[in-house]
Amino acid sequence: MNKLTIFGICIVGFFLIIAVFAPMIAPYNPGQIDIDNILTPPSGQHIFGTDSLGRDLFSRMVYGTRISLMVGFIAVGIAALIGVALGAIAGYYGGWLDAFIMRFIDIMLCFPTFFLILAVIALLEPSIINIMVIIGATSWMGIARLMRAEILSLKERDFIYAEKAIGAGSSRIIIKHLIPNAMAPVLVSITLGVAGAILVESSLSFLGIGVQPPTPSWGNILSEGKAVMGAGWWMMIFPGLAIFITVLGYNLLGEGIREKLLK
Amino acid sequence: MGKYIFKRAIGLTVLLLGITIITFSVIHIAPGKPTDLQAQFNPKVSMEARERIAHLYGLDKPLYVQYIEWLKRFARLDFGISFMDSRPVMQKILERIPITLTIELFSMAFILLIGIPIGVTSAVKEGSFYDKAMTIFVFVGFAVPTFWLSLILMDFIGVRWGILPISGIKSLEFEKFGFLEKIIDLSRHLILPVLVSTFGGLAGISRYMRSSMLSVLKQDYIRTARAKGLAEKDILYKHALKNALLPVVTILGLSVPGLIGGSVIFESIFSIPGMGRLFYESVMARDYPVIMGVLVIGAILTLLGNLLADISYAAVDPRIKLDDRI
Amino acid sequence: MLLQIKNLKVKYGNTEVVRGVDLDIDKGECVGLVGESGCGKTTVGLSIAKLIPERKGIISGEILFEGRDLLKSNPEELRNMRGKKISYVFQEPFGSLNPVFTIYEQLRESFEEKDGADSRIAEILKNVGLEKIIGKKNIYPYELSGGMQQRIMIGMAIASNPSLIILDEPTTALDVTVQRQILDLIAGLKNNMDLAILFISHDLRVVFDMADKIGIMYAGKIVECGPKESIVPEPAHPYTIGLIDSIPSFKHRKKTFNAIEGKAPLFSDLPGGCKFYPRCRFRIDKCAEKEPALFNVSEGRFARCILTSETAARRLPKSDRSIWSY
Repeated sequence: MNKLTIFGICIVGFFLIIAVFAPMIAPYNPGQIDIDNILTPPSGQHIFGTDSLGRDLFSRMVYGTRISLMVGFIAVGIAALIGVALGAIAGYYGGWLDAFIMRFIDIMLCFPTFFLILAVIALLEPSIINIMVIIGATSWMGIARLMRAEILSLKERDFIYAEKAIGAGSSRIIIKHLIPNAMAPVLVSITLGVAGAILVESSLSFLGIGVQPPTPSWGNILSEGKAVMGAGWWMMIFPGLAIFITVLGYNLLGEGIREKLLK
Repeated sequence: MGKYIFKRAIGLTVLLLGITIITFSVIHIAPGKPTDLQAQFNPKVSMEARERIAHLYGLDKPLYVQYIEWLKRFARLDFGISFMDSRPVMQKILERIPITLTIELFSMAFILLIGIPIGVTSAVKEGSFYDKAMTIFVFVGFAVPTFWLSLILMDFIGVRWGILPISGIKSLEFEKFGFLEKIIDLSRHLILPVLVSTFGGLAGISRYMRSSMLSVLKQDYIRTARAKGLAEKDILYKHALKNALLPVVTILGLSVPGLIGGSVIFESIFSIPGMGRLFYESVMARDYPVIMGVLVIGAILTLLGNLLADISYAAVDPRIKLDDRI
Repeated sequence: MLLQIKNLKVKYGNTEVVRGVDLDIDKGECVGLVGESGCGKTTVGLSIAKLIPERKGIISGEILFEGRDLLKSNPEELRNMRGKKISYVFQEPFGSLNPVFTIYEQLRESFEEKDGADSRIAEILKNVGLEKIIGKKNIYPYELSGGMQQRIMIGMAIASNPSLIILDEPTTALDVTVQRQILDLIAGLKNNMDLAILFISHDLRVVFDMADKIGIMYAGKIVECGPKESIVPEPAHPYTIGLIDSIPSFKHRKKTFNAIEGKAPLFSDLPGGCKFYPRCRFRIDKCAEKEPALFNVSEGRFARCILTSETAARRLPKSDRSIWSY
């Protein structure tokens, strides 16, 4: 396997472990305010320094991992559910249902995604659940198209005719046979989608309409960093690095899966 | 050509209708009436404005009637009046579009100018150190969050080293400048935003160009060209490149929504008075007419981008005749 | 001797697909190279002008063209050779012409003289029987049929008056009637231009008409070669017998086809001893011990079979020569 892919797997695994074992890894309580130690640079006591309320940056970032990954996975999960379902239906049934769904996808793709997300989030309240749902609800289109294309080519295959011959119903055929076989390219999209979702969540948090403080998210830590620009480089560098490396990891993994599939 | 445009127009109308429906729905997701929230937070809204707005939206009428009313107004390009400063929405948008478009166009130009050669040379030197280095560069480009990049550039280049301005598009003394100085001033302000906007898109195009070039180089007609004894650079840059560029043209058109969406971030950070920032401010202020207006205009720009991409693809590829396509 | 191939070996990755081939082509001589798909004949053809990129395959041996070893020539020398002294016509006309350039542009590339290009092109088109295209400067490959495209390929190949032209399955992808026309065209050109031809094909009939000498390839080596007048009536290798017998004939209608049983072996899985052993009708135990060398059956005739060497073709049955009449 490609060296880059292995690197990607390591990164993904690394952050997963951090997210899962956050309470054991974080040396401080992420919400613990310490007025005496406001904005101290990285030191032996606080390896990433402290923020403008004296909270340990490293601990906050460790818990932030949980948020980012959770949002990433669930958002993509929602996108996958919608995309696979719509794509499979469009591909399998064809006809006006297909045309309608495809038009819908075209329309959705006309909007700059981030605009839509911004608008909806701001109009509802920016809770984590809303974020996950809206990101999912605006990124399913690519998956739907992929699924549809795969189903279109798979449904003419012999094993499907065989299933029909023994009387299998449509939904059984779709769910049990077509979708599992069509998942391969979708898997690539899903992996890359996690990267995208993490980027969107951090952008939203940065703009103030994502994860709300005091819950730590890499994005909202960065927006604090902007406020103290010049006085606290650690506030800007570390969260950004974390986002960058995580996204890189998922991108490498996704591309690696794609290479494997193209054999 | 005319027949093609006509058929396309019909398809576009359907899309436009869909866009308006979605836009309208998005606004009405918020619980309660559109005016409630905004009246609560914004004391500047006077009674008359509130009544005007209520009338504009016919808020007491059933939803579908409201939609049709809005649609009629929209067809006349009347997006209503902004809640924030009572100016016509269309005017506010029109003020901001040129700036955003300028940045987008420059970004696209740079993305093409830099990304295409990178992709082509990576393909030609497939497997070499250069190729691997470019691959890494590309992945880094994909992964770097735009707002982080903006912040870092702002901090180092703007604040600490003071080389480039980091806010707005004009310096304070702009009005006193001569013509040339004005151009230079504008350019200096735009460098960082364009840089940030370009960086993200670079990765995509160069990667795509690379795979397009690689697949073209495997084709039989390249083997024919080699067997004819043509010079290597003719084979690569004449025969292969022209074929490889075809799909890239389409990709460019499809990258419009991405670029527009991305503008929100760097326009906010660098205080550029463009469409993205207008959208962000309107969203924060619950300025519904502007929100709807920008959403629709953004979608229309995307449609235009796609249309342009299709037309240029047909213009470049002799195998495609416009009339055959819908 | 125009072309001398000596002990040519070609390795794709770790597999040797051409395992030591010797072949001579004289001026104005047409040599046929016949074999099943995958026997290495195309690779032999491509090796002559070194059209296999080093990344894909390693070529060793000697290829002497007009006395110079092509395998030791630098890229510049090779380039001057290709298209001008040695030309190719490939199997698939549809993919071999660049889809985004006009026919005229591509024909224009096959010769160097700047002046009189148009009349030169007109002459080429006339030579290949495409008079109706003369003057149509905006025609693209996709507008022509397969047969016409192949004629263009042939035209490009003869444009600079080469000494050797290599045809790799030039008619396999075409309809039977078109095949006949193309073959007649090539025969006519050969006579008029004193061309040496290497005609690679899996179809013995197609080669037989035009060839002076025929080489039969199996599993990466030549198993029989000699003048056609003696090979067909008296084949000296069981594989050749199989090939001839498997040709269906209109005149002598038989109830069944005589295919050679078994399949061509994979290069990664070659048997020890004679490579044809598993499928040979006449095999004896001794055949499996060692791969035979080429044995000189008679003047100019060679065969790689111990039965031949031991009893000079007497053991093998004669074939039905009248199958050659359609």
